[in-house]
Amino acid sequence: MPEVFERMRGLYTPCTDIRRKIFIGITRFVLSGKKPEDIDYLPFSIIDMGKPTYRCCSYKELSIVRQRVRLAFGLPLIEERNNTPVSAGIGQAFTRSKVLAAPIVNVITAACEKCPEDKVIVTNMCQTCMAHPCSIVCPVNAISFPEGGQAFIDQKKCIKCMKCVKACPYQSITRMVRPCAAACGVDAIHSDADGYAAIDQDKCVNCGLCTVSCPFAAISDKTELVQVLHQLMGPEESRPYALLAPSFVGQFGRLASPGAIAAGLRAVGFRGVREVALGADCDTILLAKRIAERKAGAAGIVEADEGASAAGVAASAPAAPRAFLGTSCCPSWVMTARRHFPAFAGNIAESFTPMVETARLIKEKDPGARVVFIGPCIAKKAEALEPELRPFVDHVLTFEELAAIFVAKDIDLAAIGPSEFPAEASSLGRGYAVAGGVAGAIAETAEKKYGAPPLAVAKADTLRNCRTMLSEIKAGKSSPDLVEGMACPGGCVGGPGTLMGLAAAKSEVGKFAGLAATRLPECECGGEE
Amino acid sequence: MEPIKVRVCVGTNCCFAGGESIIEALEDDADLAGFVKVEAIRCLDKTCAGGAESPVVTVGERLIKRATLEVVMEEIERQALPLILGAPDEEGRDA
Repeated sequence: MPEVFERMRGLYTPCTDIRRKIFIGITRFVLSGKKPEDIDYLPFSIIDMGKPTYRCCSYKELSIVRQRVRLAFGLPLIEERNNTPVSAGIGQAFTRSKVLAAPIVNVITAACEKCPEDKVIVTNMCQTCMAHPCSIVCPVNAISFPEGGQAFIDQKKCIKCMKCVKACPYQSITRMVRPCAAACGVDAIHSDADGYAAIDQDKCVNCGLCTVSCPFAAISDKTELVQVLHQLMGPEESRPYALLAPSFVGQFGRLASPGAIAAGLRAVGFRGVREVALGADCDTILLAKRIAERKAGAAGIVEADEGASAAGVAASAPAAPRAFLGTSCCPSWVMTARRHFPAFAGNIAESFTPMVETARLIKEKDPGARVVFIGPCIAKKAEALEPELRPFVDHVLTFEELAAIFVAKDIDLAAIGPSEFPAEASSLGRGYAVAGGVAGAIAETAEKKYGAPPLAVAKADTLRNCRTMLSEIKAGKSSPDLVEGMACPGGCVGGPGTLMGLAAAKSEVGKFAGLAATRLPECECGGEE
Repeated sequence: MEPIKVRVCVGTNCCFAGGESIIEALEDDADLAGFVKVEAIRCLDKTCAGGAESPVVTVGERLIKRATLEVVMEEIERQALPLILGAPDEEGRDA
């Protein structure tokens, strides 16, 4: 069975529809010069009162849309159940400055249908059969047949061992797990006192996979659309640069070439466009150098360890093979690894992410420049809130949010003729978008450029798999030199802010990587920290 | 038989309104291989009216505005079935 976020992926569902309509509605609202006091009219350009499309009635739709609008404006959620108008303070979003604050990922309670958290249930397929293997295999005697009818599971006794599920000849018993919680790789979603889904913000790492897994679209991230639009509408000098994450290729349709996407960005008002693969090149060089140096010094370390053991000092110290280097480009992976495996915290590279490295390249030349990172990623919105990174990255948009700007401005990327995309980054840097690409780039660069021996690489995508990988390393089952973690399935191309299917996106990224001027990274900073 | 031509607009408006997911689904559907020819096309003279009517798809001669995968598949089936089954005989049995 595919992971929960894989099942709806690539389908255009009413959840996709309402999210995109909100983004387009908001963009048109801001571009047409509407003021905060006009906000009450905005929902009616998104839904049609009297024709409920998504919910039981238009009034519930209206209430939920107001809250979605609030989040999309970048403001903290206010629900009507708090007896406060949802539009309270909306005026503060009408600015070029940053208003975004944690938490990034939010449950809209009015939209949450209180799915059972995790329950083994008997469906109507139960035939009340003579054999009833379900109750025979149940180790805790939780299954009975009230009044001789269909099987019934006493939830207080059930330990979810799944034995009945496997034994039923009619496949009538199933386990129902709340999709948001099933999507969460760090177990951050629980229920509040009323049974609504609630996010434990101390555990959440902002991967955002719950936002695209909830079949009621009840979980949503905040956006910086409104503030970026204000910058784009502002005077020339206030207009930002666009940084395109390596997964951008193909995201805006198969006829929108990288050059057309860059031309489209300039047409909506961005001052310039750079690819984040440039910053990826800096990171590759930095980590490849470090790991090559470490390997070169490894012989010495082994000797030292042996000496220490002989002296009986290092008996409890971690074994040398655990001294792996972990990639640092996926913020959700980094947070997960550091929180769940504190002993490995020092193994994850402290280097800036490719987003920050690329922003730095721009700001070094033009200190007053504003920078908007555009990617598949919700975690980057949280990363850019880190106090030490704030000076580099001003705002973060997803591909989906950017596409709404193109649509609202009626810019058809497929109609833009052949346009050049400057070949600045290496093939390996452009490959960061796909799972395995980061470790692959570092290993190949370490070997070919810095003479490292062949490296043992471990990699995992999705946070659950990342945690399993680290557990195995901790247990000594594997001892890699280099470890890559990615929160999203398939890597960044599988991120929640993407627009294109995984297979097509991977292939487009591969093609674009092939067009780079060099395979190995060459970076101006030469791997200086 | 001549395959049914399905043309899906992948201009930015139509892509964003679900055109991309329609074309991906049609291309990935092995059951359609052979009797449906899928083609990605550019904007059809602004048929989408600035996105209000997106996504735009044509199945054979029929133009579908605000297309969904369900409606497109239904139309494909409607046009393809007679081609696959042949015309029913006088007593209404399939050929």
